[in-house]
Order: sequence, then C-alpha cells, then structure tokens
Amino acid sequence: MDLSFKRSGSTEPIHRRRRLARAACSALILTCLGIQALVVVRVFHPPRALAELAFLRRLPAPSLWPFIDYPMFSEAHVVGERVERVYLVIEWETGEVEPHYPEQRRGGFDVEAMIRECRAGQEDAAMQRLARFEGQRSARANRVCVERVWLQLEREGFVPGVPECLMTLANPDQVVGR
Amino acid sequence: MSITERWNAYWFRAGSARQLAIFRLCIVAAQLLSLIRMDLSRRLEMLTPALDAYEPLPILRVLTLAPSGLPALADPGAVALHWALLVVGLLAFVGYRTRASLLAFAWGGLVLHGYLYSFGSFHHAEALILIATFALAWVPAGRELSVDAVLTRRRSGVSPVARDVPIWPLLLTRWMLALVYFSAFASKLGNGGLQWANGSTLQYIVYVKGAALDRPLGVWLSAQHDLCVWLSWGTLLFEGAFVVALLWRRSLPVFLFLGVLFHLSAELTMGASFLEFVALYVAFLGPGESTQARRVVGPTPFPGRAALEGAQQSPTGVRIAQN
Repeated sequence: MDLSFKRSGSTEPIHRRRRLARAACSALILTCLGIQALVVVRVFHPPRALAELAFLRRLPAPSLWPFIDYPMFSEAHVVGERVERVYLVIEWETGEVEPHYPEQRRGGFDVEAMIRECRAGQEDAAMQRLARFEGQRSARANRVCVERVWLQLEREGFVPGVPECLMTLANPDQVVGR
Repeated sequence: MSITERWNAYWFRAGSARQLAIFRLCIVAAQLLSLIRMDLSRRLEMLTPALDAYEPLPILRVLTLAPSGLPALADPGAVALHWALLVVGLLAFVGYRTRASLLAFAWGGLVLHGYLYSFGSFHHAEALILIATFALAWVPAGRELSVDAVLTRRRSGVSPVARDVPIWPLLLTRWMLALVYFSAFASKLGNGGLQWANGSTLQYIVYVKGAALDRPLGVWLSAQHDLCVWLSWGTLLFEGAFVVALLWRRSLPVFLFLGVLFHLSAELTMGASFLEFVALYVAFLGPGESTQARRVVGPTPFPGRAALEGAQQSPTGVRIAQN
C-alpha cells in the first residue's frame, strides 16, 4: 500500500492516508470505549452476581488500569453502625492533658504511625517517636495513653461511647498493656 | 446514510483548533498541578514495605515493552521519572513540539502511575485524564495557543489552519466521562441499592473520610441527616443521568455546574480529590463543531507534523493556509 503523502500533485495518496488514519483512530476510539464499557459491566456482579457474566471477573482490579470501574463508597450504611476511633492522649509533666488524633500532624509528629507501632507491640519505636516529639515541645510526657472510642451512627450524626485506654506508655520507658 | 458514514460524521466532525488548545492547556495544567502536589517520597516510603506485593500491571508491560514487566524501581529512578514528567508536561503545556511532548507526557504519566499502582492499591482520579492526554496527542492540539503556532507564523508568515481540525479526543472524553459516572451510579445501585440514598450512608462516608483527613466540613455534614438524604439522591441522579448531557446539549450547563459542585464538595468534605475531572469538563465547552457544521475531516495520525498539518504548499513553494 502506498502511504506516501504528496502534498502537491495527485490527491489520491492524501485520501488513502486519511482513510488509513481514520481507521486507526476509529480502532483507538472503539478500544477505549469497549474496554471501559467492559470494566463498567463488572459492577453488575459483586455482590449481586449475574452468573452469565462471571467470566468477566477473571481479571481483578486494577489489571486493566487505566480502564477501571468506580465503585468507591458504594456500600450502604444504616443507623446503628459503629466506627472505631483510636487516638493518643498525652499527659505532660505540667499536668496538661492533650488528645492527638491521627489526622493531625503537629510539627512532624506522626500520630497514626505511633498508634500503629503501639498496637503492633513496637514499643521502642513508639518511645523514640515520642522522645522526638518531646524534644520539639521542650517538655516531658508523664504518660501516653492509646485510647479507643466507639462512635455509633445515629440520625443526628456519630455519637461517641465511653473511651477506653488500650495501652499506656509511661515515662521513662515502661509499657503497660490493659 | 451507512453506518460508516454516520460514524465518520460523528467522530470525525470538524472543530476549532482553539478548542483543542484550551483542552490541552487545562488537562496538562491539572496534571502538572497534581504532580507538583504529589508527595512522591512519602508514597515511595509507604510502598517500601509492600515490595513483595509488587506485580507490574499489564499496561506497564505494554508501555515499557518488557514482557516480564518493569522491575521494582529504586527510589531515584521513580524520582527521575517524576522530574522528567514535569519537564515534558511543561513543554506540552506551552505547546512546543506539541504532539511529541503530549505523547511523552501521557506515556510517562501512565508509566509512573502504573508503577505506583502495581503494589496492590490504587487511586481513580488520574486514569481518565491520562487516556484523554494520550488521545489528544493524535490530533493537532498545538495549532493555537502554543509555541509551535508562533514558530510556524514566524517561519512562514502565515498562521496555521485553525479550523476544521479533528476533535474526536474531545468526543471520546465526553463518552468516557459518561461511562465513568455510569460506573459509579451502577456500583451504588448494585452494591447498596436504593438504600444507598438513605442519608445515613453519606453521613457515614463523610464522617469517616472527613475525620481521617481533618475536614471539618465533612464532620459537620455527617450530623445533617436531611441534607445528606437530598445530596445522596442528587448524587445518584447526577451520575446516572450524566449521559443526558451528551444527548441533549441544552442540559449541559446544568450538568457541568452540578459536576463542579459535586467534585468540589467531595474534595472539601471527604478529601476525594477528583479535580482532574473538572479539567476534563473543558471537552464539553465551545461549539464542538466549526461554523461549517458537521463537516467531516480526516484525522492527522502521525505525531511530528504538528503545526504545519493542514497547510499546503503553493506552486511557488510558499506555505499557505487551506482556508
């Protein structure tokens, strides 16, 4: 096939080239829409599977990335469901008691990482992290408690239950589990 | 009219180069912004413990031409790719060697994100804009508002042809957006049913995400049951009916306005950052066709002939515009 593109002279090669280009672009369009449609169809199964479409589930997400489905936040929730909220309560030597939540990063103090370390039993790493925070604050912590509270979904929003202390890190390096 | 003719009349209709250029500016800017905001070192640090879970995505195997997939990159490799992507993105934004830079930008984006998502978990915001960027590289998106256009004007003394350019990437983006929103809608109905719109679902979502990401607006919204019921129904209607925006153009402003509001509120209340989608809305703006309505044009397939595509040589050897 002659793919030469002669701008002057005969227009035949131009038309041929355009036809070829159009076919290539059409293939690209069909591929994109086809794969995306296929991926979208997958949402019709889990958890309400259509048996005849089960073969489409062979590829787990995100095998076809960037062609993906968008099932985020698609589960329904009802009143009465509970959510666990875990945070740190630090008691400073000045007597001040201060809660620290995972989403807050004060001066590089990664609360989430410290909670993770405490719950995984990595007390040394947690104490080192606390020591760095103490250095930044120029203060000493008497006691650190990993606290958990269950929040229950009500019509008026989430209602907190009674906080419970999961673990205490006591100064200087004593760990007490409850 | 045969099916082929109808297909060509729809997908290969003529549009304006300015429309393509504005789309290029918006989607490249959105991605550059996202790349700048991306805390790559933290993300790589989080991936390190998951090194055993590394399973290169098929797209990585295709794009890197490595059948076994890209090996797990050392951190400097990923950082270098990130920087290279910023440079190429800047070139695509200003429109220098537009097609080549757009193609390189799309390739790099797919490789970088494909790599980051080969560890098991992935995000959704980038996928569609990367597909749109890749598609845009196949049409002359640098004929206006670009360095290429300035250089062409300087070299030949005439402006590159600004009308009757193929705009199928814009049309493709519109349909892909409709499919994506339908996917979200169908997932909600498939997984949660109509109970998804009971208000409690949205209260739950905005609290969990809002509290975890320190979004006071999300925490506040989680206490507003009635408002959450309305917003849930609004979300379902918007996502399920988005395709109407394509079929009935008069409804477009409403859908685009609702879409901007939807993504902005999702960002503010639960940190679900889909601002890339808002950039993609630019595909809907403008007339969509040139003044010569529905004139079919031939696409220009090969990167590298960017700015001069459409200009013809006169018998005297001077390049002149077609129209």
